[in-house]
Amino acid sequence: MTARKTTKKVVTAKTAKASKRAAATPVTGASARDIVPSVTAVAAPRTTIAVEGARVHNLKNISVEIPRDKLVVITGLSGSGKSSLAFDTIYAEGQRRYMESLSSYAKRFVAQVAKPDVDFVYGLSPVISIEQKTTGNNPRSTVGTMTDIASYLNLLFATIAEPHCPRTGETVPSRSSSQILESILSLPEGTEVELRAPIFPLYGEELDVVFTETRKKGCRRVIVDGKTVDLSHELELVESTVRHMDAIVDRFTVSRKNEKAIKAAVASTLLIGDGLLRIEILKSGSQSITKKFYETACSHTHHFVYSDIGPEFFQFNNPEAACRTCGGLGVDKLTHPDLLVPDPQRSIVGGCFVREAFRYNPDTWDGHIMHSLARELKFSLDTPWSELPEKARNAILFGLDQRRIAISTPPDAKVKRDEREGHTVMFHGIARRIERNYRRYRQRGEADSRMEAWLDKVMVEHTCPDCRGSRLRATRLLFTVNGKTVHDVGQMNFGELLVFLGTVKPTGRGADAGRHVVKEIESRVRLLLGIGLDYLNFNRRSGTLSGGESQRIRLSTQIGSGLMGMLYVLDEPSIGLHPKDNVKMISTLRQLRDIGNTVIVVEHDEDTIRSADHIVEMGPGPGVHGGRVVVEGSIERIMQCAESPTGQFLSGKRAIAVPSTRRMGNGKKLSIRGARENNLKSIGVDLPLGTLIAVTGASGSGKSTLINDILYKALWKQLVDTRTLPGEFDTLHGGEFVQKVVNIDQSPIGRNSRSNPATYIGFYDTIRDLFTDSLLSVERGYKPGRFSFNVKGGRCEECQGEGTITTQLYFMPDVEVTCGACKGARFNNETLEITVRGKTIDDILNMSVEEGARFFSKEPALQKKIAVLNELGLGYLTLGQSATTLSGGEAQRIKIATELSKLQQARHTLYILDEPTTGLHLADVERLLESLNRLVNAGHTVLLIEHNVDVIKTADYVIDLGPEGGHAGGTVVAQGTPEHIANIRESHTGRFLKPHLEKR
Amino acid sequence: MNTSEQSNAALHARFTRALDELIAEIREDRSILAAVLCGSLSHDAVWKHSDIDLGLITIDDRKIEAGHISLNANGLNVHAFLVSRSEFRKMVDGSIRNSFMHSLLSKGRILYTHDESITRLYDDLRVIGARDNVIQLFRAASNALGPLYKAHKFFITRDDLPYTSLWVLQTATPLAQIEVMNAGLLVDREVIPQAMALNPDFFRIIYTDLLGQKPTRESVAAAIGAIDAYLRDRARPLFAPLLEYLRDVGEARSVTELDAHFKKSFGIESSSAACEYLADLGLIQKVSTSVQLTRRSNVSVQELAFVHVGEPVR
Repeated sequence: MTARKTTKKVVTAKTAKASKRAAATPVTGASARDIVPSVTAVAAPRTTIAVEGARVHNLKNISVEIPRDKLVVITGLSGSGKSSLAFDTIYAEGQRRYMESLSSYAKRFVAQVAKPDVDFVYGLSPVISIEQKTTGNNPRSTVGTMTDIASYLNLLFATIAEPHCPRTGETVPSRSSSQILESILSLPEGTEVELRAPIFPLYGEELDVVFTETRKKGCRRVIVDGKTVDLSHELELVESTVRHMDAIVDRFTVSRKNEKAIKAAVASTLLIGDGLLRIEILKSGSQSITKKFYETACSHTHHFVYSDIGPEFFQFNNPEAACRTCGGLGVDKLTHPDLLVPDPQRSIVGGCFVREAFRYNPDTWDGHIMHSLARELKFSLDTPWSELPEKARNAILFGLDQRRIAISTPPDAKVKRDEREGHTVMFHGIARRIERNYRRYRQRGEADSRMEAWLDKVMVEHTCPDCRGSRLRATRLLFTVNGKTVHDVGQMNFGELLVFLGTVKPTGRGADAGRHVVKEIESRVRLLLGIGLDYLNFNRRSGTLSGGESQRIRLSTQIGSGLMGMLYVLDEPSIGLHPKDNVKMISTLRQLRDIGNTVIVVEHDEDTIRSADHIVEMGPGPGVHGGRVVVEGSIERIMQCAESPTGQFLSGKRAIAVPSTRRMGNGKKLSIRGARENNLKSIGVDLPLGTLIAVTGASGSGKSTLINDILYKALWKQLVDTRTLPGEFDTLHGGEFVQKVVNIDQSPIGRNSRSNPATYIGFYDTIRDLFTDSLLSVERGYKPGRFSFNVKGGRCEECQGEGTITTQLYFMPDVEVTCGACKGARFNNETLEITVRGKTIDDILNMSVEEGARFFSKEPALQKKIAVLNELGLGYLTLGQSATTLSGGEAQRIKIATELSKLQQARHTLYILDEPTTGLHLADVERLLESLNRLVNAGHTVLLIEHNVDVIKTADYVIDLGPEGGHAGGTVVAQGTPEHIANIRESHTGRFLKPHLEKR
Repeated sequence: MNTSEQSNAALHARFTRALDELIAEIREDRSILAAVLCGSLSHDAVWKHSDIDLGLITIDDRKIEAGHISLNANGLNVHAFLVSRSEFRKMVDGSIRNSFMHSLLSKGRILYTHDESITRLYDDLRVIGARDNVIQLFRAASNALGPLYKAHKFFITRDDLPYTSLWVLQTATPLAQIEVMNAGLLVDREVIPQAMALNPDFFRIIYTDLLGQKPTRESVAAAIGAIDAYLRDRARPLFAPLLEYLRDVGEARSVTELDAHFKKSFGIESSSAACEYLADLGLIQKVSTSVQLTRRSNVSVQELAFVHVGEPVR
């Protein structure tokens, strides 16, 4: 109330102009927000976000008003300035104003955002951007941790889970330390009690190590399978037969005066027993009291009791709860023979193994042993690996178990050691040695370096043999809710989970809290189901999610937060969604709007555009031809606008044509049989070569697994790198018909500003040659390197060829200024004196692709390569545009251009593209299809993983997987022409495809 | 009783009286459960500069901190260490028999206790387990090898008899520990006199002769020879953990791997000296395994390794 009064005073005291200025000042924290809305509140509450004078990237000083509390779609051609308006202006300014509110101290710890080139943005709310980013490869991040629901599940288990005995499975009571103490003190004075802690050895841990550790914890006596042993003595135990061990922690006589000692003993025992404690009454005055105690205070058979359990007890990222073998990762690494032997055609002497694993040298001990092994197993070290008997290969990699081999010196050894000759040793194998070293490096925490990188090359992940993938210590899995452990619950897909939660009826001590937690989890799971993620589960690693899935999960988290008055900016949420799931996504966006938020979506999807309250179309063209607002308003307004490409497509005046005939291909085919990686159910598919193939299906149905993990990797293994490990499948026939496989993804074409389309496609060398051959250049003796901004000589040394100089200002954003020496030209004056038809090398790099195609019309080879870029709709890019400024879609099209510019008809190539329409307007999709068809028409095969029905309808052959995602997917619903698919009733794709085919 | 004995008896009585008076006060402290007398006064003679080592076992209470305190008992220094009952229990059960801590506690005696379980714990200290003995023998034997190696070196390379003698004398303590432990006795802090009583001939050659007379080539050579023979004759039991481990794994293990294993399994930091020694005796073989020197190395070199080879195939 106080703030409101103050702002009213401000308003009455200022002129309208001053008010506008006040509104334009950065909004900082609560006080600033109080000022801005109140200025307009006098007249009318602000109902729009007004952007004035935006000049970011290609934006042409535009002004636009976006209604608040609405679902707004910003659309337009690729490169038209959609993202520049939504993310680089609106989001960036909102973010910057928030950062401004932080103290100088806090600013030092966060990346600062530079002020976007815009005059004013009015009516901003706290802004959250939800982009299409995968969450990285942190193996500890799961869907559960991302959504925070893992914490709720842990809380649920801590509250209502039923603990069980690790030995009999019977129910074990859970008590707080004080309750355990009180129950012991309730025994008659003089009762002798012993506290024991169960010992849970690490997987494969030797008893010597277990006992040394137990001793370090201060326990000398251990009960091994009922027999008490003193660890200070020699023990005669057969390790493999040992089942149960309890360390005797303390023994005392029950008495109030020993209360503190008993309390400390309980605490020590729980620490050693990992939260579990065993109470044994050694001497008691009454049998009945002992019996009653065992019946009420602990479990019946083994007299166990759990301590009070908190949520962190089930948290796999907590070192105290994580499986000690895998450290909470759920996976262990083992060597893979194919990775150890990159070239099976070589022999052991010829170096068939990777260098670090084994290199034969007759003068080393390893060489002697390998020679001895060869003698023992009667194989030759000169025989190619692939021709060695399997028994020998197994022995070399995995050893001979307990069998001993006689040592013999290789004949080519320089020194012969007679004293060893004929003596025997064991051999445990090269693979086992690497695994032993790997475990040691991990234990010592040294495996995070180059060593790990190397080990990764020869090892593959397997489910951890100790926790079997649960990531938790065994004691954590002794707690169940309705018979399910926390890991079991995490394994359920969200659909199953919701059903399961419905059956949970908390009772007893934690019932009230439990009901509340169940309700909370249910509401969050419903949100995830609402955005079509029913096939995912909480244990799924974040790194395996697609960008779209990550975005939707973040979206659900935001809705779950229940915040209102926010401004959400989203980047193409429809990506990766089957049309059937897209409907759910749109409804989620509406839900976000309906709870009182403004939702701005950068989108090309027709259904999303049609669902928007307000549409802003940027354009009309890409790059320099764009950056203006073509039209804004309702869907009707857009459709009526003749200049709007979107309107043209939406109104049906323009459409992607359905081909009149389908290509039959070259008669050859690739056939995969028995594909069963992830959720694939041992399926078989045929891919006709020489056609455009679309692989379709619901999100999570197995498309990427089939194409990227199996087909692509199997062909890559066959054609390029034998160390590649494809997913599980039985056979791949027809691989011999493919000479090259290319995966054209949306990853950047380069990681730094020195990469650009000219360097990536490779025509920059030709341009440099043109400059080198110019008269003045020849006169001065310049070489091509003179025209490179990567090496010394011709480049500007002030900025080292960057064109800009970045200055760090610590708690203020870094400032990037144009280099004062070269004025951004990247080259020194001498170099810039060389011209080709009046243009310097800098002029050429700043030339758009369109201009370039015209300028180099007299150099056909060069012109052809540039023209391909132009034909793919990238005419607005400059030839030297930094790779870091290119979108994923642009990068992908540059890669296609590269392929088109070096088409080799003689080598049949399979091009694989995963959702190539990402970031593309329908007009761009039209151009993309043209270029892909050029590849097919040149005799090659193009395989698309796609949801866009406008693309699917143009394919020659469709493979539809599903019918649903996750467990309910992984089968081939149908394969054939689009017309065939459209007639399959079970195919969701067919259902959405049918109306599009009927439009023809 | 002569004058010296009378004087010692008086001194002992003074210490005892001072201790009794202090204990009488401490006994009233409800936070102290027991007092344990350690050091000279508990099992040896005291002299005028002796202090009293006193262990005070406190109740388990998070507000009571463990630590040391120097007290004054009628002008005598008392070095007291305070430890909670639960920590004391860990010390008693966790300390390897014949380690320093074990020796300190087990040579002491309980002065009083309010908690009978402490008496029981204390009684357990008297038990010396065979596994602990094996570990401690291995440790002592390994400790003797370093100075023995130096003694050999300086005897051969420099003919420096006093310096060689110094290194020989440094082997005396671990060798005395071996002697005492092999006799099934508790190792004292003053272990050499203990061992001399058990094996006077050996310790005369390696200890008394070198200290009591000017070292000669003969006496030093005899000392080194005696130590060599002493260790060689007992090598298998002294280095049993190492021999057994290499025999069980059956193939070569690098020194890095061996060190890691013995640290983890027995708490012994280094095993390389023992490996070298056993290889010299021919009980194991010195070999090598491939290794990269740094995380960024692009070449492999050979690391020292050892292997236990089995009998030749007939």
